[in-house]
Amino acid sequence: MPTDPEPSTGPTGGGLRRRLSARAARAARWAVTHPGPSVPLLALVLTAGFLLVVTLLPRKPAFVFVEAQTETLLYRVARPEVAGLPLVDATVRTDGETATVATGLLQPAEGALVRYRWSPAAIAVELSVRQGSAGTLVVDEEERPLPAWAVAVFPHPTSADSPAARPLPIAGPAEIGAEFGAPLAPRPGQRRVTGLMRGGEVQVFGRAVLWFNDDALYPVTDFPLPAGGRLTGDRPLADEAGSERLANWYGLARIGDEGFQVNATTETDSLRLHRPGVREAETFGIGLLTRLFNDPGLAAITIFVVVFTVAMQMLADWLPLWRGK
Amino acid sequence: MDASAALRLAVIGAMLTAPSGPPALAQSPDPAVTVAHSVGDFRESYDTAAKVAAGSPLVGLQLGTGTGRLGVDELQIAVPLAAPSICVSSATQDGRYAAINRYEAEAAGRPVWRLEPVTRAYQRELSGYGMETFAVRAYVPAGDGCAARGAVHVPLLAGEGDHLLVLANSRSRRGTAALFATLSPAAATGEAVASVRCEPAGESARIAFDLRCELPLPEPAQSQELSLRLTFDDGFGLDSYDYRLALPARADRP
Repeated sequence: MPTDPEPSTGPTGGGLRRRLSARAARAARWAVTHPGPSVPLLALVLTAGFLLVVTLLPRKPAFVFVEAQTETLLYRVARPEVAGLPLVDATVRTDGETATVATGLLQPAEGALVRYRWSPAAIAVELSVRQGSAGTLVVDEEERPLPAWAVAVFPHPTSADSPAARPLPIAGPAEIGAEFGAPLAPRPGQRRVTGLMRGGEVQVFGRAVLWFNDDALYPVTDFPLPAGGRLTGDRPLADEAGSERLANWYGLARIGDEGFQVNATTETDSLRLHRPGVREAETFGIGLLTRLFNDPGLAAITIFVVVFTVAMQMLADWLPLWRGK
Repeated sequence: MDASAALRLAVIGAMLTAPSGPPALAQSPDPAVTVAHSVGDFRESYDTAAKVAAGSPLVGLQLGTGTGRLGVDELQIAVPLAAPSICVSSATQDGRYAAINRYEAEAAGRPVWRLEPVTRAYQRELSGYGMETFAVRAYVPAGDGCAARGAVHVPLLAGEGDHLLVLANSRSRRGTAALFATLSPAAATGEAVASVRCEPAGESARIAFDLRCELPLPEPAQSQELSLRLTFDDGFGLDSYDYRLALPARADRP
């Protein structure tokens, strides 16, 4: 007695497969017999599938190179080992204590906020934490703990040989510049409050996502930094809990005649520029399309798909001609 | 005329004679609150060349911290001293809106003045701002105009919290705020009633103000006259600014 090779077992198993393949066959027949609506529909599905695959590829944060001229910058210390500052005859002042002149190493604590401020005559380095000690001052092998706030002021180094001529380090999430905001009415004898960012440039490099490109950097875009703005990460630096998730910046600030010349790098997909004239910050984001056309691996695949599609179209058009011969 | 027709006529008559405009703008039933109308030309600007000079480090003074969107029909100032009029300078943190106007109270002797209007031309624009990005500096001027020199400042009633919030323009310097128990800033050399280190203000563009200083308040039963000292430090030196304040009694605070 012959046996049923695929006994029906309800909605699961072979029955379901049969029904699905029957539906697929019906859909294929419909697509062939209705080329008008089916061609754009299938093309849409294929395009959406391609973009979905690209979107789901693991993303690596962009490598950002920042070059700026500014009179102030602020960063939260993430790597205390590289955040130390040699001081030569600097005036160190803390809350409620008399200022002292010191030569030594100013060592900010991890998590402390460090602000560099330039003035035409001197440089101020301000350390602050909400609670605890903002760092130490190492003088002659002696470590002097600093309170929660301290500032060291020293004149512009006159000799490039001086330890104080070493550029100032940046080793943590940073903010560059301060908004060119409403001025204060000056009082007799008052100095100008410095803090202006005079301009700069941000260059963005992507990291290739496909295995055969081996994390290679590729140029994505660059944009100018307008004067009078404040460049930040995508979270407030003052918010200690939030700034833990900010990308670290590494670089240095050279003391110049009109401010600090900042060269720093960071790995992030989002930078914000707060500037006069707008309420919300401008956000520099690196989107899908930017990557699609710049990543060497993805660009090759994109070009392959485009050329393949065009070639297929051409062949499909030419074949009937040859067959006609 | 039957009774129901008379009632209908009475209701229609009441509707026709009722004051126009939203009910919130009518005289408040709260005996402590009076509506304060602006007098003279209304001076305000939005995203144009500012008609008022910022100039002062003190940009806003308020009791409590407001949350949510700015309610331009609901701004109330505590005026705990006898004053014929007050001047109100307001600004958004991004510096796009600025206004300075003089207001007179409808009813004398009320401790709370509701401003009418806060804005004439920019209601829609201002309604998009959050309370934390709007600063109001109200004061009883010493002279006829709105010159702030020698003025006694009075706070905006902003929201919950028993603290005085000072919004200041330091130009990115470190700021501290201290309260002294005397109206004369020159005599404010004794121990401060309260003193705090200011924090960076919000994440909006810091154009009109960049610091917020949250001062805990003493709890006297009566209104009090104090002085406020703002000190800014950029590392190179200190700048101090003194202001006179009059704060309401605890019972009149929000």
